[in-house]
Amino acid sequence: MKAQMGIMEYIIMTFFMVVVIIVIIFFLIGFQVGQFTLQKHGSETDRALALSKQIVSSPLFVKEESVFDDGKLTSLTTLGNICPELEAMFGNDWFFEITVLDSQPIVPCTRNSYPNCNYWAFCVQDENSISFDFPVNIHRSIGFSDSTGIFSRTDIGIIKAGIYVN
Amino acid sequence: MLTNQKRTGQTTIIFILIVIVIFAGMAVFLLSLAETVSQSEYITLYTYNLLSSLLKTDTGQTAFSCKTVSDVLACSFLTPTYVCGNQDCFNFADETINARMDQFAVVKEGFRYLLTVEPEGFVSLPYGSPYTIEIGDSSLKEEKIEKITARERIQKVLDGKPYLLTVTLTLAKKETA
Repeated sequence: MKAQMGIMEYIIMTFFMVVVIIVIIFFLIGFQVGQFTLQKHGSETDRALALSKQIVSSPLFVKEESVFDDGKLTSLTTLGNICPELEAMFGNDWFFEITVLDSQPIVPCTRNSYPNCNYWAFCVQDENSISFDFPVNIHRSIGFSDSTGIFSRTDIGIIKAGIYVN
Repeated sequence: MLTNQKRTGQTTIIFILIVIVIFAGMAVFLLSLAETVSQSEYITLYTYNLLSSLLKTDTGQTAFSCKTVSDVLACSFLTPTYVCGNQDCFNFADETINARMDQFAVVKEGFRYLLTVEPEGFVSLPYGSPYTIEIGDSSLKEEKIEKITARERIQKVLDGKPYLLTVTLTLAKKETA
């Protein structure tokens, strides 16, 4: 009887240890999966931030760093869907939009609306994304006019740049 | 003997449980350290860009001393009696900057700001005592809270002499009630 109880004890203890080991394995697997997910989110966030920095200094869009040229932006938007060409330069699955903060209703810039417009958008789609907003300037070539001529103006605005995620 | 075996078994189980708890604690600790630096880098860049963009923005005035926000701030120090629109330079700067920051508050909520302008290498004494400009929430200067700061220099020439001003923008998150 005593011997049987001793054996039962060992069996129960062994079973318990196996259960604990399996729990530890599942725990470590879950931890690794969590780490991978976190790393993925981190690298997507880093990519969105790097893209934002790249766009605010790209001569394709700006007059000087963080000063966008409204003529360049409007020329690009009037070309139609240039996302494939831009993706060749900046990679896939990204977008950015620039809004002038002038307390006016949003008017997308096109050949017809320029210069009385305040919004440019590139590769914007209705998908999940990670994005960053930054204050920027927009150089308006046709800022204001008076009796002496037409003058440029530097407005303040905001850029929202990001990448699409699954 | 049976009692000693039971004790050995119980000790082993307790040891295993302690190991599991240590693992779990390490995992929680490591996960908490895994926060990326991106958010901190972003808000620092945001603050710097906000200050830089603000200073370059046109005010809507065409006069040389009033054209951009940095011009108006310099005017507040160097020619404080100069009139921009129908206000002196400081009041015009105060109104313009607050209006711009209010527009940004709509886009990015939850921040308090303080813009300070100080002379560098000279003392401005328009009213007999050293002069600095503060626009925004002055209480931010003394509060011991987490703040993000960006600094820029403005250089202006008056009567052939260059003057340097240091502009500091401080942002802090608003405390939610």
